[in-house]
Amino acid sequence: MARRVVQVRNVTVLLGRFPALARASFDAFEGEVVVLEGPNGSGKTTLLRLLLGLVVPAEGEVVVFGVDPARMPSAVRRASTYLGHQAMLYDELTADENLAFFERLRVLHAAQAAQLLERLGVDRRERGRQVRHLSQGQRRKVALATALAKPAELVLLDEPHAALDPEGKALLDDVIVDLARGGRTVVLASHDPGRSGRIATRRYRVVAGHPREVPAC
Amino acid sequence: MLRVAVAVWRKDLSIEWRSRVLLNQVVPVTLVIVVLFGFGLDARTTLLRAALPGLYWVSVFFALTLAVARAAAIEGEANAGELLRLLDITPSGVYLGKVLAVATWGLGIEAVAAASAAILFNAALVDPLLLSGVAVVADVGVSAVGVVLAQLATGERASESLLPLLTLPVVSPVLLAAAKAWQAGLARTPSLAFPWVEILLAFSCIYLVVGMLVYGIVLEG
Repeated sequence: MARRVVQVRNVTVLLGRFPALARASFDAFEGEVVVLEGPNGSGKTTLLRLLLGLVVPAEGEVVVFGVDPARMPSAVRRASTYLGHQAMLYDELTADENLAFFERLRVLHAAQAAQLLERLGVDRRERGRQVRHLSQGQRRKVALATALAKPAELVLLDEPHAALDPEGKALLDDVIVDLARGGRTVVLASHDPGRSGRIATRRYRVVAGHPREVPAC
Repeated sequence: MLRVAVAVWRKDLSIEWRSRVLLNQVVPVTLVIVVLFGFGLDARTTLLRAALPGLYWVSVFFALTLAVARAAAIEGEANAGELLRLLDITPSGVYLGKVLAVATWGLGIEAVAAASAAILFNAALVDPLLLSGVAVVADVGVSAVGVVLAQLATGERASESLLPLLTLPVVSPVLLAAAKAWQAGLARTPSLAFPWVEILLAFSCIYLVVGMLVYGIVLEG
């Protein structure tokens, strides 16, 4: 049986007085692609951030790689990669310079990220342009390649298909499926079930901060 | 830690070299302040020379505050506060890199301000070794405080105007010691500068060490 990577049990998260998550439970196992579906504001992003210790639960239990991410964030973050809504790239630098910076930090292998960029349809010429001159879709691809090139066991992606054209979305799906086949666990949030449902091995429908498992396609 | 510091330092310098925000905005502001002081004191050379150390360090402080705000803005644009937390890299390395970057820009600003003050105030910058040594240490001291406080102010309302208000009281010992050491240097009495240099060194080192220790906590919010 595959190793359990994520276990969330009856977790409530309050953002101010607003319950972003209400008695939420979900699991993710090694090699799975877990899709969290739901409308905007349903709590998908909070669930992803919970797994990295970026938000702290008011009650309930969160275990990632056998530890509580709120207590031992470093242990979880070291083995995880996350791409949120924002690209988290330095606009004044080129895509290649951004990759080189992260390589100097020993976060990723720039050559591997460059390969991923090629696969996602960003060529050498575009990699040499400043990020601020790239289209939203190209920026997203650079951000995805940066996040996915990190050798992490747990991959957390928040709306990864956003801003991508249909071809880019299909290419990204292939990359995600390959990651999972390679033994990585992918948890992705999406408000487009038609798109992400195709690659899901486990699906949760998140409504008003409460995820409910639904059959995978 | 040093590897991270050098990477962050190189990245910040590359971004600044390309955007030229400091060159196009901060350097002119520094020059305007120096010129305004000259006009304000009515070009009375003796008075200007006597006031030069204080005027110089006031100008440099405001310019450095702008440089620190720029360093924080670079990270803010990339949402890098969260990014650096998630990458799980040593926060003291990030801190040291940011301080080095601000201090590097600061050295440029200090050189421009010193040259313009010397020309406009008709003052000879005697004992350049002492003056430049003091400038380097004070530069590091102010940058060390500024980088922590800029991160602390990030996300707060009106963080840009909050930064000088937070920074000035903390760096006062550094600015005071630097101004007094410069005063002694310019008066050709370097022996009187040494007690101030010691104070300057002590405060700058303390700020740097404390900054390295607390930056991770500040980053984690």
